[in-house]
Amino acid sequence: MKRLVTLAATMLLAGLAVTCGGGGVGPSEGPKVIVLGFDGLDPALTRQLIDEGRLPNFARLETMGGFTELETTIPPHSPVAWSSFITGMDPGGHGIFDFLHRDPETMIPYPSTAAASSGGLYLDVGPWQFPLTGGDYERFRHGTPFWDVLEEHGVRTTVIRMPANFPVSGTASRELSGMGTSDIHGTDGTFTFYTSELFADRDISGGDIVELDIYDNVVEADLLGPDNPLLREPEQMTVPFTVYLDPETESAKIELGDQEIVLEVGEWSDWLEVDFEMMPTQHLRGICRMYLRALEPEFELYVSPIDHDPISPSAPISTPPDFAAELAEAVDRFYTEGMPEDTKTLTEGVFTPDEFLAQAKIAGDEVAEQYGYVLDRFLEQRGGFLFYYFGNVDQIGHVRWRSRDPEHPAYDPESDAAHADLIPTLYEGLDAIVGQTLDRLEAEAGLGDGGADEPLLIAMSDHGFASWRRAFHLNAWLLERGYLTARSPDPYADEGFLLNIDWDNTRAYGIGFSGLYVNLRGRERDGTVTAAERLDLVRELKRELLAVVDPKTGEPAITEVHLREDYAFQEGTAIGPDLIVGYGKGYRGATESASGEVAGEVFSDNDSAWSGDHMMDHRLVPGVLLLSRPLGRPARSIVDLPGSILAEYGVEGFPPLAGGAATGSP
Amino acid sequence: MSLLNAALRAVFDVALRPFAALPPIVPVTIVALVSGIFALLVYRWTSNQPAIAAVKRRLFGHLLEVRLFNDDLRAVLAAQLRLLRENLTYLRLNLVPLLWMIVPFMLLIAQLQFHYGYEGLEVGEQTLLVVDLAPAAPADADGDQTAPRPPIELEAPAGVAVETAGVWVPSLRQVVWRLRADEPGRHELVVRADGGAFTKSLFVADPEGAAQWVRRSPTRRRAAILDQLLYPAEPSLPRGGPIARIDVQYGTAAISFFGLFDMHWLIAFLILSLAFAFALRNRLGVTL
Repeated sequence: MKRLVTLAATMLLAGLAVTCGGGGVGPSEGPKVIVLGFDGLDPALTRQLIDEGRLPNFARLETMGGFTELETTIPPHSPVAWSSFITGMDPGGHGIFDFLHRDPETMIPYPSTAAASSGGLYLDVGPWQFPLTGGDYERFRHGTPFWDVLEEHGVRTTVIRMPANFPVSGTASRELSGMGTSDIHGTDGTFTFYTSELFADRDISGGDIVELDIYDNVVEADLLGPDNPLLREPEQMTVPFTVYLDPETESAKIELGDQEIVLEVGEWSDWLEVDFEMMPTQHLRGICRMYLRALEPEFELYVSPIDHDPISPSAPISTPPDFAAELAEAVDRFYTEGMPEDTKTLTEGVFTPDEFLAQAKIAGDEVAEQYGYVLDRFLEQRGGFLFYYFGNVDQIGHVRWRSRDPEHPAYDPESDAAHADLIPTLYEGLDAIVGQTLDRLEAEAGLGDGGADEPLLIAMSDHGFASWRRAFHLNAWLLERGYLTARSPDPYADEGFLLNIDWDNTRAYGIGFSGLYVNLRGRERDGTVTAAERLDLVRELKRELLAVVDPKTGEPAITEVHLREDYAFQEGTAIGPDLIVGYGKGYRGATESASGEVAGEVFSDNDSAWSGDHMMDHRLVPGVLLLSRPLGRPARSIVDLPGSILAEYGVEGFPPLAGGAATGSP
Repeated sequence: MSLLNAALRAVFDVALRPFAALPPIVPVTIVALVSGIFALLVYRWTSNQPAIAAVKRRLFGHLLEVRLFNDDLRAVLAAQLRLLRENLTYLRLNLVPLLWMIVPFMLLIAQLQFHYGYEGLEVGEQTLLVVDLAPAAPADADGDQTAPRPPIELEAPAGVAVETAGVWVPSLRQVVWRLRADEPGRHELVVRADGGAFTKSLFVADPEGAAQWVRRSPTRRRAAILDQLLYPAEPSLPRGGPIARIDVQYGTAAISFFGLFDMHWLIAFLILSLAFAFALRNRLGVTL
């Protein structure tokens, strides 16, 4: 009996100790360095707001270590610039040139940073197919992330929401993937809009519109999932849900699985769990939010893109794999897709600006709240490196920039004037993040004490921002100039994705927002230009592009054309464009042309909500660099910055080859 | 039954109160130890111990028979049949003590479930209050989607915010409110319907307070026997009243099993009480 009592007491004590105890934090070498990555923070606007006294913490940083423009990449696209930040190489080295690349063997465009691959071998049993080799996600970026080198030197790294880092590298101590992370469909984010309005169904980008019927104030519908990968014949997985409408109180009860919620019109739900059954023992788990837009005269319900559930993600979104769950349990579940601000709801006319901003605020608040937890944990450890990304300013800037530009062709005095101060207000939110970090570093890590391992805070952006007023249709220009031949000149018959190109009679074509490719024989599937002719054609195209003048404004539409040969690094250029087009002030490549459409006008007014951009001449949109103390090895460009960060830990020679010359065009 | 439930609530509230601030595996282990001893004593008193010992000896013998005559198929098959018969006898002999134990254990488990089976609401957390009305007269029966909104009101005390109007779902004869917990403590909600007032408790955990593991009741139901047995955490609703049940959504709790993994408290209780029972059977002179 005595032994038994001893055993029971030991078990109780063990239970108490394990339940009440906390985990330890291992050692890390060198100073604490925190990089706050503010996507799209514009230096001119930052300067203006600092001078107006609206960014007191940015002003503190400027006083402490300086504020300079940070040269961005060619082209200045987010995945390109962040890949340069990750690897210390220009696009010629890391191989990311745009949002879209094309496979020259098939001429099919694909996302430039990552793609899902299905399992190679299957065992077929009746209607089922069981993968014998696992499916996976492939990341296309070349080069070594700078945090690999830090980890090799004993520095514990935390890299949160780094763009172009999906699937996660797996080499940081803690990592969460960022821009480029797909939703559960494998897309950048596909929302669903349910409506009882007749004939509302239409093809839209980034979402699905579902028409449904209401019977006795009850709506029965399905959440739409991806195709069941375990079935030989593709069949979309769905999860039913029921909405009980109460028009009298303008509210509804929604049942989804065993979850029940009540929403009033205009309210957002918390995260809801979605469980797609692939087979009785295999499930695909996701999460979504719902927004009850209206009950009358039509029922309207928005369901966010279904994201991977961070509690049990079905994609490699964190390192260690349970770190996403740790974040979710510490704070709450969160958007795991790379760009959570659902800009398509606005550009496709599903949401009003205020509705979009409410959604974007939810996404931004999640990121800011999670930062508090990550910062707490980071400050518990000795030394170490932390990168944390904020994308709110960039995404909202894209669709609301025109509120700052009364000259914009889509400027609406009624709706836009009310939001004139929106973007400065977002900058103030980032300023508060900087203030929070500075205060914590001063209080807990010795910032400003001048010690040998004094921490360093870097606030930086990958590029700035500018108004996008006029669209240049690169493929239409190539068509007009005779470099490209279309199968059909009818724009309405053009499905995009390069499908309308008569390859046998085409010498050059565009895909992506800046990419211009030669239809090269031996490289392209139906190439027509020989290797000997290529360089002459490239030079001719560059000369002609730089001479393009917008007939409406009389201004040059293109002010920079970069050749692939101009990159300092060349090992990743094989997949890249032959020329990179840099648009002049107020111009950008048309979305239609970027997705491979051919027909249409060369120039058009940009009448979209997507009114601000940075995919232009890189000199027009530099980024920002703010420091809490000067860098030991100064950084002029975003390509230089990782080398400078490593130098703070005494690590030199990154990247391995002499680079840092990503910018500058002949 | 109502009196019994009221008494059991009081007993368990008092008995478990000292453990309210401790990890739940502590009281679950202690209750499992006491339950294991109790089960052994009941087993010893109510079972036919000599018969059980005899059947176990015979089972062992038949097992040896299988092992010794494994080259004789007929002998092995006959031994297997005898094993099956003795197993059934063993189960029959266990039935009596199990019947004696089933009621006290059901009462025990039902009480413990409301202490350790549900997460308390946190301050700021939302939940739904779901009121199911009693079935209507045949003319206004379930499924009548156009039934008018019944005159039903909710009163919430300070510390609980009612965030939405009551959503009337005619097809379910249900009214649903969304609540937000603003202050910790045990709150009493009042639902007024058909001239009567019906209360429902709502427990909000105190983030600063120590006593987190106390009784919380997700449902209050009418006075049917089975419901009273399974949901004893609050007094039953009156049989002839306008309300069939009132529910509050609490999350399902998982307790840490000595820091090894999280599990439902009932699984931990079953594992531990069985372990204690097996460990103590010889000391208490019980043949299982």
